[in-house]
Amino acid sequence: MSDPSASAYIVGGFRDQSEGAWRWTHEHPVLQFYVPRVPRLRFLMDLTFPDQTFAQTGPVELTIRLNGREFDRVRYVKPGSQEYTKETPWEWLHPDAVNTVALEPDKTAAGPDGERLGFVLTRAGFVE
Amino acid sequence: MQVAAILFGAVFTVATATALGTLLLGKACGDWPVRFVLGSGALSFLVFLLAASGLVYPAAFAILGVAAIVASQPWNRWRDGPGVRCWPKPSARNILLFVIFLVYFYIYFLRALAPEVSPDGATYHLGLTARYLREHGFHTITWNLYASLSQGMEMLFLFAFAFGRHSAAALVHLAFLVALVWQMGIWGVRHGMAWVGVCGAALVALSPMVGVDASSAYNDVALAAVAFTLFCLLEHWAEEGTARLLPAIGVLAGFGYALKYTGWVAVAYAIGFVAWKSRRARAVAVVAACAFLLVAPWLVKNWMWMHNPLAPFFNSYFPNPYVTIDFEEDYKSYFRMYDLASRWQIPLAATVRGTLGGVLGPVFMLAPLGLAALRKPLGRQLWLAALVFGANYFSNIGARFLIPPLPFVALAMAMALTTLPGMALAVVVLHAVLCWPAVVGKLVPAGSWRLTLTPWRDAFHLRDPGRYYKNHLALYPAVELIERATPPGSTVFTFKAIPDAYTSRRILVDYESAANQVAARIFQSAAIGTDLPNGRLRFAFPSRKLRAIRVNQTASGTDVWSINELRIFSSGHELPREAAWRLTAHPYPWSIQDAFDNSPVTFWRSGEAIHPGMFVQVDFGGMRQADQVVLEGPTDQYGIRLELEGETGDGMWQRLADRPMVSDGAPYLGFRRAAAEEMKRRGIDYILSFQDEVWSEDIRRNRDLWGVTAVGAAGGATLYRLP
Repeated sequence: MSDPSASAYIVGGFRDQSEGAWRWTHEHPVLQFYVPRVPRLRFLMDLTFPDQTFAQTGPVELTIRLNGREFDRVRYVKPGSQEYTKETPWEWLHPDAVNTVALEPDKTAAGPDGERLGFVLTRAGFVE
Repeated sequence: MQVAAILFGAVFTVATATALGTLLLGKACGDWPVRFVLGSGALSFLVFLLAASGLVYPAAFAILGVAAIVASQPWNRWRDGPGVRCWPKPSARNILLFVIFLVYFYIYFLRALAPEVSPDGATYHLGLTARYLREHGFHTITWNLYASLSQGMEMLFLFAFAFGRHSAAALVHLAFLVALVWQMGIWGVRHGMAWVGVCGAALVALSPMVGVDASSAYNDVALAAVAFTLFCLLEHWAEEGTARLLPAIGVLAGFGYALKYTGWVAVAYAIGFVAWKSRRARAVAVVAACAFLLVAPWLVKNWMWMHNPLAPFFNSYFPNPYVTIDFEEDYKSYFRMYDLASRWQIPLAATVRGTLGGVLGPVFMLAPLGLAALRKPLGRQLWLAALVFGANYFSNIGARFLIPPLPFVALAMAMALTTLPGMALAVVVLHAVLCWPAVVGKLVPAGSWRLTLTPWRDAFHLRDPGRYYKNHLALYPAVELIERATPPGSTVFTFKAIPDAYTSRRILVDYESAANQVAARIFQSAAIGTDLPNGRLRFAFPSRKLRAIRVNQTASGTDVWSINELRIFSSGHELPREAAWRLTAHPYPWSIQDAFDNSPVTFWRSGEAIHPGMFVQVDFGGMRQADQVVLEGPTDQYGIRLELEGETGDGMWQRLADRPMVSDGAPYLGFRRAAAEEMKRRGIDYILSFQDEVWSEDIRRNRDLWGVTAVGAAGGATLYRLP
């Protein structure tokens, strides 16, 4: 997220302004990635559930959709930093095209000005 | 039959060299060692000319050899008898030393006759020799820095190799030890100190370092023989003032340089000695001109092909695309110290411990005793020559780099030891015991280069040489694999110097050229993530029309500046690279286009440690609107300091940004595949990966990501074909 061009990867569901190396997600964050024809890609992300929001939400279940298909469902029972990585089925990806990844928390916390805060995302993308 | 070919190749080479030496010297000097060593210089020069003309064929060598031998009329020489007639008288001690000499030379002979397995002999000395024979001469070789060294010895190897292959070359080198020892004996006889000569010769000849080097396709003992022959010839000239010797002195001195770069001191020594003794410009000019005749071919060859007459060194004076300055500095820095903590460790390491690539023998710890010889003029001459021929030593402290001054030190030691009755004999006998291969094996660490006893069946090639190679040449199975699994004409990349004297394929070793180092970095960044181009340095400035931009590096330090991609933007859109753009960089301008090729795996690299004055510049060839410049590269270039300048069309450069904003970029996908394809694009067909290399696991597990195919495995190595 520290990449000045990080906005190019965001479809929606994030705070408009970057906090620097990380961004708050809202209820329905969606990312997009151009994926070349590479076998055995893994989806990777570094995310954080801050103590303040976790106190409101309790354990959060995150549903990850890859190009609209449910790819994984992960339950986070503790606040703090988390690293997520999972190999992606080749047939679920659109090679040499833009692919979308939706990250849907089942619960969000109330932030200032009434915005809903999901979690903090530091890094996300596909890696070999 | 094979042994006959080997012996013929070696003997024919020695005979041709001797004949040429005879033609050069006439009646000025009748000693075989002088004629052989001097003639070797002439033969080496003639073979160079044939190689430069594309005439490297056994038939051409046969004609040259026969013509030289016939022209020298050896039957007259035999009729005249040897040059020195007062040989040491038979006595118990002389017979004892003669027997010791015979035993050791038999060991050396068997080793030289056996399949060649020395580290450098089986790689570049004979690898390049074999290539010259296959290609019938020189061709531009920019991928192997060893091809740029002066190769006077390789020219002799080439002559022998054409008839007897690898072992014939090793035997030719052994002939130089015979010539050296013989010459040392003659020197003693000439000065009425036959026992000194014999003992000094024994100290040299029995040294394990000398023995293993002389019985291999190396050049250190040959340089020692040239140094000592030059010493004797200069002495001879100074005593008799024979003008006929001056060209021979020059040729011999030039041959020192042609044999090995460190032999340049022979030229300085010869010119200095003649100038000092004669004080005549004409005499000095004759020596200098004849020396230059043998030096010049190597300078010209390198100038033409490497843009550096002294390649692979002095690259800061002669910048070129083939060897980078930072590599040269690292390379020289290692050889100045090896793994020693202090230079005070050198005496023990070189004489006893063997941690400098071999062992001279514990007796050479007594070398300071030789300083007693300084009381006599002859002793002072010996020590002066030892200092001259050892002058380069601290540029490479390997034990074998002490071989050229060793004969002088050994004679000085013998002069001192012979003043005490029985002492010289006792020391020589002790030396013979301590230098016996089994004893040396107990002294030095495993892996140190040393002599072992060669079974005579292996020496005479009566057993399958493949077994001998596998027992003595750890990486030989990899070469067999390459020969078996790749078609002729293939290029194989490897991180280990495999014995390429036994394959006709082109072998690229990671450190042996700048291009190989680039390929290595590309491979390693994909395999183990070093130098991945995930760093972003972003210069932002008010939008304006510019004719050119320039990124200046202003810091000093040890980092090397590198850029994988340089992108220029206007209003968030990247300016498309145009054919009209003119890209320049200082230093290392040759690969700047790799920072503009849209490939994350390729890069421009400064090739030397950072200092103010480095820059990368893009001239658009017209005015272009721009507001941002982004450099993509490794994230660990902490020492660099960059600023951005722009040329606004009036020829004036203005600073656009003082410093870039640093951030991380998204990692590239398909990096392994891109790396493999780039290596293929650079002419590499295969990668040879060894199990003990940190990157081997990645390519083994991710062959699909690399797009490579494993075509075979042997001896801990796997060979992969690139896509």
